[in-house]
Amino acid sequence: MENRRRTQYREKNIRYAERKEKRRRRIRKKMKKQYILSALLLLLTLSVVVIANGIKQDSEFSPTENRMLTQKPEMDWTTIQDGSFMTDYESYVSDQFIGRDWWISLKLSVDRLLGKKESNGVYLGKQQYLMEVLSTPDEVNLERNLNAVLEFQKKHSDLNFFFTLIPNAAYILTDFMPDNAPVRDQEEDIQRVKEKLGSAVTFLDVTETMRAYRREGIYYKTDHHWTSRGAYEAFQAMASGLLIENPATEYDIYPVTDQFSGTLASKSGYRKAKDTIEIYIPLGVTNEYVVYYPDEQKKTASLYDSESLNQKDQYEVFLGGNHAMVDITTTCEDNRCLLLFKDSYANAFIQFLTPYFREIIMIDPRYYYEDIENIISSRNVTDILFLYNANTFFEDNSLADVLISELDETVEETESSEQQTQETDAETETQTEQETVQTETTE
Amino acid sequence: MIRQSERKIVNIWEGLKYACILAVLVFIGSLLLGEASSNASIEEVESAVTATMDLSGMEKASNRMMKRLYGLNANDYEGAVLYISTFNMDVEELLIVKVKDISQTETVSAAAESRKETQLTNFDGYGVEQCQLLNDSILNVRGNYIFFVVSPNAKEAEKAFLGSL
Amino acid sequence: MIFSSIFFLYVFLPITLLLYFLMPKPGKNIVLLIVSLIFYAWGEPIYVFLMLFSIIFNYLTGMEIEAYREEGEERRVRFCFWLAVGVNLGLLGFFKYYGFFLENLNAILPFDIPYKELPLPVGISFYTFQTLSYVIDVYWGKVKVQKNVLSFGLYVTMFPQLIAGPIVQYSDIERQLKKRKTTLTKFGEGTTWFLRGLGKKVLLANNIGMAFDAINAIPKGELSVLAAWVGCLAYTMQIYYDFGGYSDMAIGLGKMFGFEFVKNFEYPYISKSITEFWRRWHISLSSWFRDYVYIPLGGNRVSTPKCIRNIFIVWILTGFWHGAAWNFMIWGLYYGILLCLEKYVFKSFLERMPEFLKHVYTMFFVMIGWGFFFSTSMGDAFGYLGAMFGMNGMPLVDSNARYYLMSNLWILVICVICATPAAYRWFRSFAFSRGKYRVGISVLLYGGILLLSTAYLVNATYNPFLYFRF
Repeated sequence: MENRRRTQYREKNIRYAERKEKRRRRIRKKMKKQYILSALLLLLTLSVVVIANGIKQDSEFSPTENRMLTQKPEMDWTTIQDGSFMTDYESYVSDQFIGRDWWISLKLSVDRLLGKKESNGVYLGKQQYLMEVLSTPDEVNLERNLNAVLEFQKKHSDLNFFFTLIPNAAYILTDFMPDNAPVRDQEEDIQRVKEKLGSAVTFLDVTETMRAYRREGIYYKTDHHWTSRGAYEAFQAMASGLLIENPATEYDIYPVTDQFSGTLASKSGYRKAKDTIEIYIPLGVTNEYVVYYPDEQKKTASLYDSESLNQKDQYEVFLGGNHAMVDITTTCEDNRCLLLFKDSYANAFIQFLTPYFREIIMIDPRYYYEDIENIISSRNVTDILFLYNANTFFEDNSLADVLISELDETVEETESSEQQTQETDAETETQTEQETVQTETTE
Repeated sequence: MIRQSERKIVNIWEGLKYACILAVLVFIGSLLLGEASSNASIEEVESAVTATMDLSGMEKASNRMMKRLYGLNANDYEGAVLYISTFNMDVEELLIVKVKDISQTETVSAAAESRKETQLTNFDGYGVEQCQLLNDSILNVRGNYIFFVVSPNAKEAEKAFLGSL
Repeated sequence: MIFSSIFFLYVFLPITLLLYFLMPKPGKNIVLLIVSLIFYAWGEPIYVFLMLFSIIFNYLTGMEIEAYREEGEERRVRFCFWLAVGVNLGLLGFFKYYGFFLENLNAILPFDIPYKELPLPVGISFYTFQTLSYVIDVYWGKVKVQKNVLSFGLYVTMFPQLIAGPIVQYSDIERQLKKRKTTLTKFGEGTTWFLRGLGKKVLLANNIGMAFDAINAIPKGELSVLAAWVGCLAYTMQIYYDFGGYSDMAIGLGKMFGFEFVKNFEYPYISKSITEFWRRWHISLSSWFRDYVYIPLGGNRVSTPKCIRNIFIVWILTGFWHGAAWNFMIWGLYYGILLCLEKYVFKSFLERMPEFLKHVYTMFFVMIGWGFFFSTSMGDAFGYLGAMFGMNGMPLVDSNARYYLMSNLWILVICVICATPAAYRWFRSFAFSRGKYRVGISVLLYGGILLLSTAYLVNATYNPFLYFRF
């Protein structure tokens, strides 16, 4: 009896151990299978990709990313020594990687799935709105630019000075922003500019107007610019401030493309949405003009460059993009001549101004290096307008140079110091400027 | 007998070891001292570099321009030349500076860096070719010379620059 | 070069594998040595000479030590040994700390000593510790001297562990250098390690790192309490997956070539005490310090004051090893204090705490520790830590906090789950229990990791690797 129970017990134990051993063996077998399959998977993937990359022809340009792709770098001793060959080669491999665009869109879909609300400095808003993250003002340059504007105004106090900053989509389109997304209070920044400029410069504040029309498509979904509609609303709000009597209210509106995919689409990689670009032709006013591009020495009778519609950045339909200087002469009877310091927002705005000025000279300080005083004296400038979008203006470091560099000897600056620190840059600049001007005249 | 030959080998090892230490000290010394200053005149370097570049769309800029674009005062340096594009929407540039004092190199290379950054923001989203040129620009600090070039021929220009020192 | 790059995955690795496995056995080590040197030179074309020096110098030292020992010239042995220790530490100290040293000296001195900042040679902290472990072990007679300079060179440069560890001790790998097995199964096991590591680094660490960067960029005065904690949690996860993932990749690559490296991370965030945390975090570094500093100093077999001294020496060194900056020192000191407290003051109290609280306690102090670690200066560190406790007068929650929490919620949840053994245990039991396609599905999952990682890497303008700095 006792014995039997013991053997039964032992048998049970053995059976249990056997089962356990079997299980262990099964797991080991499965593990081995997993390992071998994984190895084959890796080897297969690597060979397929390597072969595919080898067969694929290198391309020069990526239309989706809107940039030139890195080409195979040449190997030589100097580039190897300083490591530039290696970095170039790495970016060459990843730029020319097989199916690059597909990989990028795969990554973006996963990001989206994980609830990411930002991609490469672009907010992924509601209803497919893309909005650029707002810039934090570069205080040093901002101060310098505004001082330059004031200085410039003092020098030309006989002219009308206007200044406007267009707030950006991320600030205005609160309805379309991702929930809780941190947004800088641009209105506060704009108010600060307004206060700083004081009364000598007429500040045209369009923040309220833009906010009122925020649901009317005043910004592109895929681009960082405002639409013609946005420019139109701003113009209506600004017209009286700009001393324009009876601005046109009737316009013919022509959509020129409905396939616009702008810079934000490129930057973020989200390119589902498409925008429509419209142009506005005022009715009931004489609106004839010649547009002259001094750099290209080209004259046209249109503000619009239809060729641009065949290329990637269709916003360039306005004036064919950015130029250092554009000179527009019109048949307007009013004898006003406008000097416009601007960024690319003005390109879509100019279509509203042509009926009211005899001449409009657009200067983009980022690219303009000539003497601004010559223009003022030779062209009979009567009005000066600064038109920027807030984001660009708060980061700009070129306006002061254009305005101030030609200020003559009458500007008095204190102290001559050899040391240049960033803060005193503006001062030392005019200082040395004077010196060079003097030495040049004595030569 | 065996002992002695072994001893000899150990001595060789020891000698090698000290040679190694010496080599590494020289190596570190050369890293610390950096490249020796060059006596080449800025004109020589300039002509060597410009020979490799297509200068038809470029012009030599005034000192004032250098001040505006780079914030550099040409008179602070032993020599400084700047070429810029005649056409405003081109980004080709060439800056060669020979400093008086090695401590100035940092200011100059920072100026070149910030010029590149500014140009990149200016052309971002508009000028694809320009951005590409800027990204491919070369900034090289060699002893008392700083060299910055934005050009399709940047690599050749750099070689000429290095060769002329 | 780093593993998590398109170039490594789809150019360097395939070429290396091809060469290695086509090469008949006697040549395999040479192939591995050459590709490892190329791997290093790819990122450090100049400093590769430093590495070559290190190989030859330490090799010769080993040979000499043995020769003198056979002759019984102990004095010469000792001299050789200390010279090697001095030279190795001297090089490390020079490249890593002399800028920091002069900077601080200049701050004290009335005049300035001019100096030129040299870039830090990548991986020098890791390979110096490896060569040191060899020299010390030879000196102690723990290992036989390596007579083959190629094998020794391979030990120092072997690319899987070259840049970020694990710090392989010579004794662990001595035999493998001569004889090791490479089978398809082992290669596959390596593959799974590698892919898990790749996923951790590329999919988890890089993604959560972006959240940390965004939060850390907010001025410290404007951080709400929740935002600061979300940021700190994000960093906590980033550094674990970054470094842990990299170690996994190293181990995986090692296995592919037949090597077995020690485990470097063992789910550190499930620890129930700081002491346990350091047994699970960066194991190869802690054991290095234990074997070559703590124990030679007497370890804990000496009087309590001496033992406390030993603990502090080890932890200040550990802190300093991570970087030449005061905040790393403080971070090391912080752990020294915590470990002493755990050992001598709160031991019994901690043991009686409920399990749950033990976890909370550990993670709390670990996260505070990272606050010191990720800040670039002491002022920054206290600013950030202050924000975590609302000392800057900001509210508990603000829209920033909500935004970053919500837009990173999923990834945070995934990070937290994968930081415990549960996820991997579940995956294994899923894959290896009865059922026809389970193994296949698990392999597809690995394929998915490779696919997604490739997508992220192709897109990566953002691929910084944290442990490069050390």
